[in-house]
Amino acid sequence: MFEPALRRLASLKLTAALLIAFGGGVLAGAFEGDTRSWWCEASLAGLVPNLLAALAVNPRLRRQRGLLVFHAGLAALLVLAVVSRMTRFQGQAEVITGEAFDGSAVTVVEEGAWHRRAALAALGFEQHGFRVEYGPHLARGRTHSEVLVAGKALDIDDTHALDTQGYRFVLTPNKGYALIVSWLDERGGAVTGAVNLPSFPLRDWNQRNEWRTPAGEVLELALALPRRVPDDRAWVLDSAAAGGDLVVTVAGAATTLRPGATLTLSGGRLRFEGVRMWLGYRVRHEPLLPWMFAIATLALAGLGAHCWQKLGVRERARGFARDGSGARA
Amino acid sequence: MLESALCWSGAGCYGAAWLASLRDGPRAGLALWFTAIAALVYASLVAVRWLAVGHGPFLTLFEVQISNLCTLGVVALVVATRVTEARAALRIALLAVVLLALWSTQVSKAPAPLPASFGNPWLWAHVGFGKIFLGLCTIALGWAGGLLWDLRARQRMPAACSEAVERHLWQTMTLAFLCHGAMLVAGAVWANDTWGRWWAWDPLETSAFLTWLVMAVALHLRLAWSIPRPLGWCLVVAVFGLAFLTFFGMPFLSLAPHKGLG
Repeated sequence: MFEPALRRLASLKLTAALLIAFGGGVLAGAFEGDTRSWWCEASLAGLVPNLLAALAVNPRLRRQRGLLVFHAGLAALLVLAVVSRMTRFQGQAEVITGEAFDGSAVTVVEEGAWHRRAALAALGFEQHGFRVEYGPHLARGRTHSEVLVAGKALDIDDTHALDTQGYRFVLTPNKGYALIVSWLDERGGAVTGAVNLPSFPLRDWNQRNEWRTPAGEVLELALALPRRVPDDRAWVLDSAAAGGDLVVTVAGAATTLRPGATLTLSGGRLRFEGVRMWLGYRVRHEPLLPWMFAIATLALAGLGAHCWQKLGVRERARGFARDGSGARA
Repeated sequence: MLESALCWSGAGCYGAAWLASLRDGPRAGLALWFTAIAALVYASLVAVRWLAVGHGPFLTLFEVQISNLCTLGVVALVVATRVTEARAALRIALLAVVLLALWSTQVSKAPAPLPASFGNPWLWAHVGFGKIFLGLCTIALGWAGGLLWDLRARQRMPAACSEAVERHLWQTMTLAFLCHGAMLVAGAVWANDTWGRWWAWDPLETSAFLTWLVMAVALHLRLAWSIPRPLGWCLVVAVFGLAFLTFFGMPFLSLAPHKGLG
């Protein structure tokens, strides 16, 4: 009773049609800027039972072990890709030198329904210094970042990400200055925090940001850098050398503060503690990725074995033809 | 100056190889000799370029073209020395290579700085499998294009369309499919290490995936519908067109960060 339906589901014509539908969805999504259309997902969802049915009813496919491994691998890969979407997490973080990573400050780019936010919050590492090498005309070279994980200093760079507790932190080109300021209220309370400035040196002409004091006043905070970025020679952006004065603009009136200086504002005082730097990371958690890689490799190995067997058969046929008698040399 | 001289010399050798491939008889073997010389010239050009800019041929259109011109010759030689029928594919395959070689003489030779994130061994695997794929695809184009040309000229199924050629054509496509899959997997590992994501549907990735998908469709159509042979050859030509766009068009047309510049 089920066999005719299974055979229809296993049809190679259906495979080709689903592949064409998927390709059409990918192409349409590429033009629209979103490849996750229901069209693509429906065709992929159709391919998995199509493949499984083909494996069940097609003895020729089962006999050819290489092809069997390839197709079973593809089916497993599709299933894993769907499960992976439910468990994965992707975000962006700006971590200030001398500070610990704060999982709650991560900007979420993508988060699966099964991702545990508590695991992200439990992550801990401290950002130490970093250096970025530049060539003439702002050609970015290598980035070296030093972090402290569980009391152990680790170096990460453009080709070595930080892997900790299942999360991967990859360096991005984003980095910039952070103004460390304290708010001293009229009752003697003090709160210290950081105001991150736009990416540097990409936006060196716009090193300013707005900040609202706890008393509700809106300030413009700008960094007066001691020197300009050289354009005609190589140089190094070193977080250890971060420095400069703070220019606070309130209602059109600008005041320059040196590190340690304070400015009286309505409801309290602002103390400029100094300048540090922030470094941007792409945060990724994809626990099924090693399995997906292993299965993709296995699937390719299956296809490779199939090709090898086919070519080998041809070589043997040639040997028979040369012998004439069919006897092997 | 040296780069230009080598570039023109390589194009000249491929031109001579193509002319030799048009002739039947013993002189057809000359095509392989000229192809070998051209591949050597482009290998020298890659070495000269490498010494000049300090990194491998990964970034600019010129670098991608000359490195592929070298490997296309090597793949053609390997296939043609192992499969006798492959010599019939050289007429069209070498014409495509000559056009690519002439194009490479006209593009900018200005170097670009290698992003620090490119120092990853998976990049080599990704690029290596890609080059073998393109080489096999070009041979398949040679067979399919030649057969289509003969069909159009004679209005009947070409005599050269033996079962052996048809089998070689699709075996080559299957091998190309395998190499393309390996290129995608190696590229995903490289991208994961470099940019913290293994796939992002950027224009180059989308184009590469569509090429793989069209190959999968072509292989299944041939099995499922037993499509007419000329339609199968047209699909092979389409795969080559998509692959050509993926290699020499998309990375240089899009501004997506696939080049690692950011």
